[in-house]
Amino acid sequence: MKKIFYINFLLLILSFTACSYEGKQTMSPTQIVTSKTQHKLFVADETANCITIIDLENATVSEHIKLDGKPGGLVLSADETKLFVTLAIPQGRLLEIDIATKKVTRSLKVGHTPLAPVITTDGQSLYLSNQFNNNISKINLSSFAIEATADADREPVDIALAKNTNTLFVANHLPSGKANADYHSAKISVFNASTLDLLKEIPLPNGSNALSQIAVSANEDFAYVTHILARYNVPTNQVERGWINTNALSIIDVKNASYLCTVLLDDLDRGAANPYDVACSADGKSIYVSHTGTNELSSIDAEKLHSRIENISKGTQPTLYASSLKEIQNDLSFLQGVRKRIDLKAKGAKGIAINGDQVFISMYFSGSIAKVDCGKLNSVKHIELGVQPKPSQARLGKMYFGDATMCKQNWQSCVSCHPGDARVDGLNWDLLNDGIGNPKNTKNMLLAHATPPAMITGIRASAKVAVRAGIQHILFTHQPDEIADALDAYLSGLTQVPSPHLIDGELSSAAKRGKQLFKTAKCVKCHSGPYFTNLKSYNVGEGTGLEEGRKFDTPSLIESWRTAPYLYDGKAQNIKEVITTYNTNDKHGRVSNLTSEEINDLVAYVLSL
Amino acid sequence: MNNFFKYGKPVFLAFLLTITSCISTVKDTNKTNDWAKQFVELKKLYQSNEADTDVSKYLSVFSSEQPWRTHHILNKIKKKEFEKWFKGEDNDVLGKLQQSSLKVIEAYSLIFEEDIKQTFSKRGEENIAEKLLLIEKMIRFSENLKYFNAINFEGLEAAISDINSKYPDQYKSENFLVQLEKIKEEYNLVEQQLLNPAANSALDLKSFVARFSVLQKEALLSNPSVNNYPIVFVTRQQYAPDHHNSATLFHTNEVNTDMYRPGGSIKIIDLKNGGKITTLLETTEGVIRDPEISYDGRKILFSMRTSIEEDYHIYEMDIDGRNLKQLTAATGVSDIDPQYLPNGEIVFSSTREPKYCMCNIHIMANLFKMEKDGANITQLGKSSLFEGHSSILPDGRILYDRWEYVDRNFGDAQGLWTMNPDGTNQAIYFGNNTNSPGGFIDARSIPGTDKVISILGSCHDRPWGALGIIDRKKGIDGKESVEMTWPASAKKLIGKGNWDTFKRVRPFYEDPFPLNENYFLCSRSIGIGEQMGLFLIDIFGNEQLIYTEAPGCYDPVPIRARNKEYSIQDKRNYKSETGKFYVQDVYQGTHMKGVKRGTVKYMRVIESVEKRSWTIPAWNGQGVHRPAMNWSSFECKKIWGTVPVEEDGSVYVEVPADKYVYFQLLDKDKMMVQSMRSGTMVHSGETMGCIGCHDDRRTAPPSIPSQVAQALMLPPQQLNGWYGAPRTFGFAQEVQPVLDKNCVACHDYGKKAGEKLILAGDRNPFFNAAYIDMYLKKVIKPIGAGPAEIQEAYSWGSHPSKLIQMLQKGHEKVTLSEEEMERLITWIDLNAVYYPDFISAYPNNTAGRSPISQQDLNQLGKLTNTNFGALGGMHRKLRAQITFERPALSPCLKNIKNKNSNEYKEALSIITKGKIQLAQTPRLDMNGFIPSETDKKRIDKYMYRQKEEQRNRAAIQEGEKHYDPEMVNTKQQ
Repeated sequence: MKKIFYINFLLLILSFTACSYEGKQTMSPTQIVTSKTQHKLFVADETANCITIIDLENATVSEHIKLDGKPGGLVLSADETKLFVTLAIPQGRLLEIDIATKKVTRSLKVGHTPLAPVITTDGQSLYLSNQFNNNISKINLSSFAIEATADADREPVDIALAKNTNTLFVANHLPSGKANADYHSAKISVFNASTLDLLKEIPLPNGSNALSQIAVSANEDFAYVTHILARYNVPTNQVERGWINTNALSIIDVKNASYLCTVLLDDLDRGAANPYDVACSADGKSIYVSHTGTNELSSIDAEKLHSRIENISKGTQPTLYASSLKEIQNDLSFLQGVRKRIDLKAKGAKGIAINGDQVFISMYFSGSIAKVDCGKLNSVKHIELGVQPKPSQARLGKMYFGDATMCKQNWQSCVSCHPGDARVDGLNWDLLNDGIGNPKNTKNMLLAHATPPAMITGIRASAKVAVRAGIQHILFTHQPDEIADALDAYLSGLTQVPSPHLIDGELSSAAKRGKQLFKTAKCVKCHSGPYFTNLKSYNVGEGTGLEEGRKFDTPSLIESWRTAPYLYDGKAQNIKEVITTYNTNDKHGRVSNLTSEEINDLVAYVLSL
Repeated sequence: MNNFFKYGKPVFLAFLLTITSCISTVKDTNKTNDWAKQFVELKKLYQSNEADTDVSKYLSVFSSEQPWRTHHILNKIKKKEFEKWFKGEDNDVLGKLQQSSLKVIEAYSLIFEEDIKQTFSKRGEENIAEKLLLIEKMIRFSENLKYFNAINFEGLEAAISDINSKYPDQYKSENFLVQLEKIKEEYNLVEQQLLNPAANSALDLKSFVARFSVLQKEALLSNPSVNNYPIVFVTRQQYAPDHHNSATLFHTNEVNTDMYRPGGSIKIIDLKNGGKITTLLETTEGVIRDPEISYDGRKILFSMRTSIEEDYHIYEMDIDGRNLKQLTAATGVSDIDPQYLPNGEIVFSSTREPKYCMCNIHIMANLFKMEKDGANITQLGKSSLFEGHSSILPDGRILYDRWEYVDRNFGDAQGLWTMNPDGTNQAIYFGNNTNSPGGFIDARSIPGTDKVISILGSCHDRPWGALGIIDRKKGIDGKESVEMTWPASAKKLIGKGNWDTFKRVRPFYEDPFPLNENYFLCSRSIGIGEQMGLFLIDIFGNEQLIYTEAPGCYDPVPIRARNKEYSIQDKRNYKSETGKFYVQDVYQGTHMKGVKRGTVKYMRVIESVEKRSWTIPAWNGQGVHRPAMNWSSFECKKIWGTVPVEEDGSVYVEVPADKYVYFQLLDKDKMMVQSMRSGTMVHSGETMGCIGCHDDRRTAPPSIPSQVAQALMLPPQQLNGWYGAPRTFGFAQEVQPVLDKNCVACHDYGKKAGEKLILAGDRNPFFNAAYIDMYLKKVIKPIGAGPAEIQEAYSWGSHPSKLIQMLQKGHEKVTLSEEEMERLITWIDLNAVYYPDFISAYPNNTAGRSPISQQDLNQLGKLTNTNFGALGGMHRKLRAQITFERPALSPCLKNIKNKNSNEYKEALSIITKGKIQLAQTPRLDMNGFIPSETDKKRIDKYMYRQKEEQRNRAAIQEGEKHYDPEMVNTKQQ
């Protein structure tokens, strides 16, 4: 209730103070870049589909550059005459915009959902990540053509360029591999910036996922990456003790391209949920992290942080808990005296940009840019991007979905396990709704409301029931009905993202063949109808241990290209394993008589859905 | 005895001037010139009476009328000396007073030289009044001087600019800063003037200090964070000194009922309105305590007792004093410390589970909750002693202080704990293993921070002490985490001495209420006896009296609406059956050093059973046992069962709900590796988990190399007792038979091995012979009522026990069966307990256990030249002196040389009387025991309360409402 009032109040304020922009478009600022020479901010807006230009002299919106789709990332050319923007859509594009004329001067077709454009100092090359192609590309800016493309791991979402070592550090959003393996964690991929040769993969502590942004310090000694450090080995009632999803900043030694340690951004009894962006000040003194879940900015004293880490590696830090670099990742009081948490007093903290002594943070839901004075961290001002229309129920739901202040001690939000627009984190979680000791792989929320029952075991009659149970048993709270209703509206309104396996929106020839096999192998018997599920539960022989012989709900196959790993405990790394390795006696599709090519065709079809 | 002499040590000087300026202005007008005369009159009155009349009586009359003088003049010298002077035996008392006052003012004494000469040149008694007035003047000067020297311009300046930064529009900081500048300039002038004998220095000093005080008061109290809201508070006498800081109930029909001090009120002070006082409710026979304000700022919730015949109940009324409504009314039950919960319910402390502290005989309380109208009262905490002073953390947990001890000492076992509003998720918060202060009491969350402010108190004292800000990021125990204290000097006492070290602290602070991160309300002693005033204290070092009146002001709480804390969902099902408990990996955590993976094979679940009855006669263990329980520790143990620990260190077990249990890790021989030495509980329907044993609560769980802990992949283990159904552990019942079968053939009276160690089960007035001898000969190594600190693995119990080591090595031809060995081992690991309950067949006899009376025992002592008094505790030197089973073998009889003498016969007949008595009325260490009538009554009350609890739980389950049945008799106003 309180929160709704708060938002309404905020909107009311906005409507009085902001100048209007093209009617009633909802604004959702994400990434920001600053132009030092022009004293401007360029803000990517994901729902208004535009770049908003803010004049810092008088802290007002000066102009908008309208785009054809939602911007993914943006970067200024070294001379600040051009702005490069990616359109984060299935048929992704890189745009070159002339800052003087605000016109798109060149446009290049790139991969599926391109993000994170990064430019070289000489202005010759630009790098971007194609999130759903799982690769990165190098663009020659002279010819404005793709020069090279290289595979990252899974869903690369951000790139940091270390100029001195000529390397790229790429943050992979999600872990690849089996969820029931001893180690299951997202990685950093390191590339040679010239050749795009994959030099190394840096593993992060077990349970690292939802990697978000990566930044290199001014002196290029360290790279910092924001992510969740999931404690998936313990049952989820341990949220009571303040864990399950801890929120972390991992530090990479750039020179050696090696992992240094992971620092928890949470406090002992107060999580700092869903760290999003990270930025380093030019003087090397500060590291800033935005927290989408708690709408805060962390201001970390970089010098103190690193001297503490150094003392621990030398064993000269007696008063803190952590006595080795490895223990830092479990120490919930590690940042005491090193970090300040600043309440940004608006909703949806995302991208950070630093301009001199000022830090700007885009506030996704409020449609404003928070301005924090580095010297006076408690004073937060807001630059409004325009009149934010009254949010729809679905948009409120999206906000609650990412709102960790609803969770006991602010440890996590729904997004913590369902990142990427309510999809999956790839991990197994031991929820207590079906007993203890039987973790289940996170499900995609797309179509959850359309395909009852809910949960892998089907233990909740519908997604509506599950949403309400989740508020109680995962966030550990009571909330008014409005919140659950809004969450329903958001989740049932999610739209399918076209598969990256489609070719120009069509099934590939292999997938077309696979479509036939889908019928003949009897997959369609259970995976039937528009959502590829008959909504019934079956025992297809996958259950082991406590779950042996158990029936599981037939999942929808829509978007299965992005929901790996598979089966109730994530034991199948890919669809092929589902229908071969873990398909005993053809109980999960009659495929034993198929050729390996036919199997591949079938897989291609399923991944195209 | 007059309490001023007992408690009023004159040490409040540094803070006194606030009072002298406030109090003296009120009282001086009438009495300044009279008091010395009054005192002289008193002396004359005394001397005119008979010589043996009690001096204290006269002094007490005087002190009640002249508290300031009593405190500052009479207490300067010893009471005995004053008595002598009073009786006319010593005429130099005033000289001594003068000397002590001169010492304090040192160089400035020359100011008084002339006056001293004048008054003291006169001999005789006629100018006593004059002398006394001069002495008062000197004392006032010395106090002014101290206050003068302690003037903290920086602190005041810091506060003024801090308030200004927060309330630039509401606060007139400039005015104050200008005045402050002026006063600073004067400071040097006054300092110089003081040494000028010609000047009226005392007056100068006083007026300077007074002017500073006025500025200080105005500058600090016009802080909008304190004066924007009226403040509710109560007046009452300080609780009488009694056993422990939790002994404030003076419960009806209990041991200390007559210590109840009635009289008090609940009032409001409105600083905006010139400090206007409004009385909401007043009582002469009753006591009002623990007020709290509702979230909407419109209601006051408090606890009140209407007379000595009644107990405390919870009430609520509007902030204007209207609509007084009684919420609880149970007879023979005290309900105190109520607190609103964010879900609309109310948590409070109550004696609804009537049980007693194990190291004495005082009734204890636990946390309970009820609906807002008093319905469906149900127990939240089951810890074995006291749970009090609940407040709500921003995350919705209840923060409270808990006095508990399992295999550890009584004094320092009071720390801060948390639980969810439904009683689930009980966890340590801070300070349970800090040896000093004895108690962290009455903590509240400081808004806008992760810190709390708490009383740093003592065990054997009232619930007051120093105040401290605790930041548990810096550790959950010890000095490091206490950021600052009031008084500042108290910080160095943390970790020093013992549980009563903080009794030294002056002044005393109570009832902290944080307004924000810099300013705190509290009640504080003002230097006049035990009178408390309402204070505003801040982190800049200012301590400003807001208001005081006799007998004392307590519990300041601002009347304002505030946001509700986070609302945590319920997990209980109220069926009173079982909950589940898992440990991820017992090898994780501190104090498992030297324990190799794979060592731990079992986890034992033991209940520390509550004490439902008591006796007056005592055994002196590490603290008093009433009746005798064990050699040193206080508790009674019950084994619920032993379950396997998996290879990976995980355990998953179904535990009975509502039991105060603890866990021990056992190796392959079922010998203890580590023990918890604290307790926990699960509610029915709750699943609670720990990461390791003694895990550091400041760390998140490390990743383990498997998807889930092994134990969790199986259904929870069931507890199935220990060689039979779960029962409380009695040495005579469980262990003595093993000794009888295997050891007593040699280790008996008259046998050679018996000279070294008696293992026969012959009963004596306290325990039995084997039990006493094993302790005296140190063949076992229990921890007794051990230290506050967490102990290392293997440091006590069966592993370091000589007896077990010897038996394992092989002793003569003794071969014990597995069960026999386990009985010995388990007994030692249970801290070598003796009696299986706190009830008794002989509540009036020695140690509450002896079948023969104290009189008989005294006579036997005379006859056998044995000091049985000295045998009544763990420091006894002598082995068992009596055997009731075989009277003639009683060692004490050896002291009578002539076996045919009447003395011998009489002594033997006394012991034989015990034998006959035991046969008629078996003791608790025998079969056929029947509790005494007093025990039965107390158990009946306990059982009745249990039934009420079940009725309430049934009502919660059914969605109905059950109230205290006594509520129908209360008149709703």
